[in-house]
Amino acid sequence: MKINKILIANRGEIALRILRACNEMNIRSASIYSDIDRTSLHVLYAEEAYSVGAAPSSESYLRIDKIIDVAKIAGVDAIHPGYGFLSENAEFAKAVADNEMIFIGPSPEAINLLGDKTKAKALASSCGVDSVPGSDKPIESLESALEIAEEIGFPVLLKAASGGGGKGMRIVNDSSAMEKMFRIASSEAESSFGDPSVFIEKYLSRPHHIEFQILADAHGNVVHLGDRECSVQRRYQKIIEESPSPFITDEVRSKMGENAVEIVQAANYLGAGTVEFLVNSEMEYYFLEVNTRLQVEHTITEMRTGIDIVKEQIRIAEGNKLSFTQEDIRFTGHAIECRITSEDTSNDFLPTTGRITSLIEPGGPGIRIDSGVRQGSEMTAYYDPLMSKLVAWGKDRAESIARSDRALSEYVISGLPTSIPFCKKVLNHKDFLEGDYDTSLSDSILKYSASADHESEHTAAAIGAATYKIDSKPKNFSNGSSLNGHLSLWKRSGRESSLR
Amino acid sequence: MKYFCKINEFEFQLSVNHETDEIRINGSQETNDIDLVKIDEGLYHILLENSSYLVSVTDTNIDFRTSVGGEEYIVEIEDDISRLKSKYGGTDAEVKNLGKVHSPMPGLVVKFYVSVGDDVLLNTPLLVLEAMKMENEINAPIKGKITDINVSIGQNISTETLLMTIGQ
Repeated sequence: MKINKILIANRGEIALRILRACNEMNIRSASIYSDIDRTSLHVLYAEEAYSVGAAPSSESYLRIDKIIDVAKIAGVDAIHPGYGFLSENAEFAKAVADNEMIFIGPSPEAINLLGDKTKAKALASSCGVDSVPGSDKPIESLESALEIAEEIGFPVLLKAASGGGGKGMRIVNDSSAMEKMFRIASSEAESSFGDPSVFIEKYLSRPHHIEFQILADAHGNVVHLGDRECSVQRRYQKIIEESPSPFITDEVRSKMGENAVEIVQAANYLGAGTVEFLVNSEMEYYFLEVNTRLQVEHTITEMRTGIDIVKEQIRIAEGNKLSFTQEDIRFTGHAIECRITSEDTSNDFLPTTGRITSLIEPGGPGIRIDSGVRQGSEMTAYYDPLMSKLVAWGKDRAESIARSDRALSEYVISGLPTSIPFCKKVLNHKDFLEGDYDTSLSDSILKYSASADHESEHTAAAIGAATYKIDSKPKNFSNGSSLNGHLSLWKRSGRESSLR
Repeated sequence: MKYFCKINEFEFQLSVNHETDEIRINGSQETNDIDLVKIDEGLYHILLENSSYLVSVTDTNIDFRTSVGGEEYIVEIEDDISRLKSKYGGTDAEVKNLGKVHSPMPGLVVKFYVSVGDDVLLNTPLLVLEAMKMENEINAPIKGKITDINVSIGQNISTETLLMTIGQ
């Protein structure tokens, strides 16, 4: 069935990403927005836009009833959920279908199956892929937590049963820390996901997080679009991804890809999805989970394969067969994505809020920016801190790194601290440059240590900061000085004596 | 005015002449060739001896997050008044010794007794501030010549507003 109109049930950069795919496919689209997003980029660019409620996502972007109502008013054929919000909500997928619209994603059954960690692990196991050793059901008590931990060996990881994104997750190094960590993980799981149950699993030290992009059509065809190394993380959240992984061998890669396809096939999956693995230093890999949606980092796969994953999602939802086979897929060069977030990387990655007072985006060869913000955008505490994604393609890894680094240098965002300096530190870190890093990398990237080579940058920084301080003083501070005017000029200072 | 800037172990002293916009780095006798243009709020372009720097500044209220070429420089700044205050416990006398006359209270400027160029003695009345229906005379803290008047009649000001400057 040809889709003529799509409701984009999301905000920020991913709403724009989907909007662009619709425009290119000549499909009409309708966007949604909360009160606070009235002037956000995804609304300014929209073809049609519908208000769905107040700023808190629980009153707008998570309101299934309102979104379905709006979809009916707009007369759409299909709804694209993006990522986050309702994208992995089986109830939403079902509500869309019940109202005779197409949910661009897998069936509610597949979402439920893969969203249940125990069932998903059993499914992977039936395909011959082990999961990290641990409990196969939620931990009932502290006693059983200790018992299982002794059995599989410390250190162990406590994980929220219905969680993700690092919430409700704690590493326990020995039995003495178990009581406290069990309590914290459980209460965090309760407050974040409304479900206090936690699993326990063996903690792999220095693991790699490697995932495979999958596309599955309604005719039983499943392909993978290669791997992504997602081991640069902070607080269990990805910040830089690259494709391909510089760590695994081609032999391991091809085995993992086959396994990923098998797992998705066994789940009777439809659309785009991602199979995530943990890989230890011996290159032994374990099934982690399947994300039943478009991923933030799908961009690097697009850059290497030339396949537009969002358009493929739409074509698959229309019931079309995949237009290519596994053998048709060609991987070219290397791609890196840096997530530009409003986070204070010098202060424990705390989210920062405020207005973007000035913005200059990079460009040039190999650079792709998927951004949801503009100059004047407010970053608020209501939504996640992702502002944009800087993607750099290069003919090889070295060129991709050089382009990323160069583009980060060009990227100017004033008004609030961002992840740009941190990303730059990662890209210039010896271990990253050598491709020899794992999930412990970001911890080892220490605070910026000033080096003598940057002395003139330090001077420029000091002058800039002092000027800003002078500029922000009350207007009556220095009448007659152009520093308070629209244009500040400091030119050619005179002799020392003239200052006295 | 002098600004003491600290970036990790690097320290800079910038002397800024607000009348001529001249800037001198670390008390240097040499001419510093600096061309600074404000591009936008929080964004400056600086040509430092013809080397080009695009400097983005964000005030976190604790420090200044400055970014040059994608790298972050955390700048802490004290001007000479705040430095004296922190050094000597902020006594009024220390601050006033600089010849910068600051308002001790919020109020409305209602009258001037002096104008730029006048010579004043210690305790010469300078201006009148009206606050809580009371008129308060502000007197010269030091002897010298009025070089700058920074407020005007009818202006509502807050505490610590710079009122005028007495030069030597």
